[in-house]
Amino acid sequence: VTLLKPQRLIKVEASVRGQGADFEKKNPEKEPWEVEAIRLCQRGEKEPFARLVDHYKNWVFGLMFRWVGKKEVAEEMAQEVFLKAYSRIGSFRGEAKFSTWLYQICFNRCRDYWRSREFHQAAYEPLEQVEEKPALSPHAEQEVMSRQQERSVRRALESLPEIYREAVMLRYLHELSYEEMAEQLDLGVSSLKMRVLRGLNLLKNKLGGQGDG
Amino acid sequence: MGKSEKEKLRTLLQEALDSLRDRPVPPLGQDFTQQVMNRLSPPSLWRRFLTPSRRPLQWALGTVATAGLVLGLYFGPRWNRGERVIETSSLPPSHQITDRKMYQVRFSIKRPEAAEVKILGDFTQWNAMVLSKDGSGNFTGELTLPEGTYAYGFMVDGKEWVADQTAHGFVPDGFGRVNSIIHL
Repeated sequence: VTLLKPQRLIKVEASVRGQGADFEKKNPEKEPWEVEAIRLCQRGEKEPFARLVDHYKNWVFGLMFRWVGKKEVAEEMAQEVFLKAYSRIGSFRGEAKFSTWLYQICFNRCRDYWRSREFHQAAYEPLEQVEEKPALSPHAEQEVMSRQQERSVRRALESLPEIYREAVMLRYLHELSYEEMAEQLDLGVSSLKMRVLRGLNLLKNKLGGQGDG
Repeated sequence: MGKSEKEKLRTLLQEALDSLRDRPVPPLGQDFTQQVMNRLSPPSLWRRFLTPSRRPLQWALGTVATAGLVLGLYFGPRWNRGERVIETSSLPPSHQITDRKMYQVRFSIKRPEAAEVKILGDFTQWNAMVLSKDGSGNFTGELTLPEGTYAYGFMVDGKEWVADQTAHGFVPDGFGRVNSIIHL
């Protein structure tokens, strides 16, 4: 064992990420209440975790909803993310932002979703209706077309091989940069670009294209 | 397919993905936080020990080793056979956010015949981390750790527990193995 160099508390700030990026741009610094809440949770207290859940729940739920397209499933997945986060909070060292650490748990849960029973069940169920619109609303027809488009795109995405589906969804739904994707997937940027390109071509073909793009 | 047709399809694809991304997120239930809090379990070591684990065997062994280390340190004088005894109070309040001094540490072990070496320690919560192998049979890995005292060891090819001969000290884990100790 070799001690290479002592250093002061490092602040390895995670790079800005898509949906996470929006969140982190609005929260550029670690909030003292957040640091304190995490510290108390690490000591075994439960109550301070409620504040963390309150703060991050909409962001986590949004990520899950974009991934699965169904409110109930996304809500359950978001709850599981927080349960996992609490059970592992001892491993959070404060070197990266809490949101970066939390995103890693979200991403792992998203990956598990493809292999889960809920995904295979969802494949045979209609997608979530966001809200009811009056039948004679001037935008009703447009809304219906939009929902149909969403449905067909999601079905096409879900039918892609997993490696392409995952790459396209991380890039376009979670809006990660290629560097962030490389970090999450432990792959090179160039191979990820190839996966995204290939995924888009496959998607295009499934949505009605004939060419190779 | 003509150029304009390709362009049209590309636009359609972009719009399609945008429609998924920009779809309004429905409101979350008012009691979401309470539901999460109702499902929380306190992080109990005993509970973890009793819960059936889906982890590989060596991870389970790591959990047992951790329990053994804690007990070993607590009852240290009885089990002391010449090795350096670590006071429980000197162990780090592990994984807390702190402004303690940080150290970059390189762990290495030479095992030319081994295919894979992992390091497990209380700094990884006894989860296995694979070390990188170079051409001369050295397995190495670097971690940044806060100051404190840590126990760890190497798992060679998933079956042989090996202490680090360059460690700062050693401590029996209470189950017949020896863990390495590092003081930072």
